[in-house]
Amino acid sequence: MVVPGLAIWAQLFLGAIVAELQFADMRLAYLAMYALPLFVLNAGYWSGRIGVMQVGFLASLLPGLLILPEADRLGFEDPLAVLWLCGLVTVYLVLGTDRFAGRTAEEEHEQEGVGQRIVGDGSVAEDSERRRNAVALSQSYRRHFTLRLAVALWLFAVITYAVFFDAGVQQAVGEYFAGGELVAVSFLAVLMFFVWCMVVYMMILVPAMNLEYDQRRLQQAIAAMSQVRERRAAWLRVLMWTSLSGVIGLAVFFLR
Amino acid sequence: MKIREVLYNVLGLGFMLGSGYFFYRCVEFLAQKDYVAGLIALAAGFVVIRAGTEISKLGIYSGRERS
Repeated sequence: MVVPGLAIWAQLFLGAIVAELQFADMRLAYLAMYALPLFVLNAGYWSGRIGVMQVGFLASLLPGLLILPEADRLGFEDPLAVLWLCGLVTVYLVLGTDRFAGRTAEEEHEQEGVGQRIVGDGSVAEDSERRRNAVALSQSYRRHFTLRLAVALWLFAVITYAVFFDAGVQQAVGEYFAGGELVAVSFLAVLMFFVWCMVVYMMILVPAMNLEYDQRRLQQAIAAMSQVRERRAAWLRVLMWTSLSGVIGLAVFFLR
Repeated sequence: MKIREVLYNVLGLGFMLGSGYFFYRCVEFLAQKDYVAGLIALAAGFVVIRAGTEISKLGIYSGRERS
């Protein structure tokens, strides 16, 4: 988790901090703002607090970004550089979540284990089974969460391509918004970025902010689905969403 | 890993990745000033993502059932 964090910091501020150090009258306040994320990352790593790593570190990047010189901001105009940065942030969040999810499962196991050991030798097997279940659940959740992150990244790539690089869209913009192409592309970019943010919020940020709650909720959902009635309801729910997707998909297709 | 679990996971992933098509179509419709179709495509994208999430949950359930 530290390596992607350092890579994010280096991509954003390394050029700026090197340039600042070369000035005869270097500004200490600027240097401090560029270096702030390193201190937060270090503090988060040694304290083991996931909140500092996931929220504090990313928030500490903002002051440095605000004062970043114009020359260093030019890098953000390259879509590949932005995509690379998004990938790094995704890897950083995935690794952080991974570490947190694994630790939560182990902590739960330890808390349960204290009671188990007092009961006697007969409970050892049950304890081991609980541990296996906790680890299996943690792995399932990890896979589930990683899948969501991968989809969010994929959608970002699709939207970026559609808005900025697709020849068909560019032609349509030139035809329907003659004279105001730049405004139209900006409108599309802002709108689709908002849409992508909504997707990320629903699929990633809400579970990330309520990680333990979401993990328990998933555990409860899995337990509930073991009941036949709940399982039938789950099937109906999947059938409903799939049918609805199909109907809307066909409607979009025929609206062309 | 059971075949059913693999099937659910692949299907769920396929749905979620496939939602990209609807977002792409949404941009196309909006570029053509077809705002209603754009909104419908947007809604379709969200619904397909939700369907994919539900299916992937079934995949997790299948894996848990095995263990």
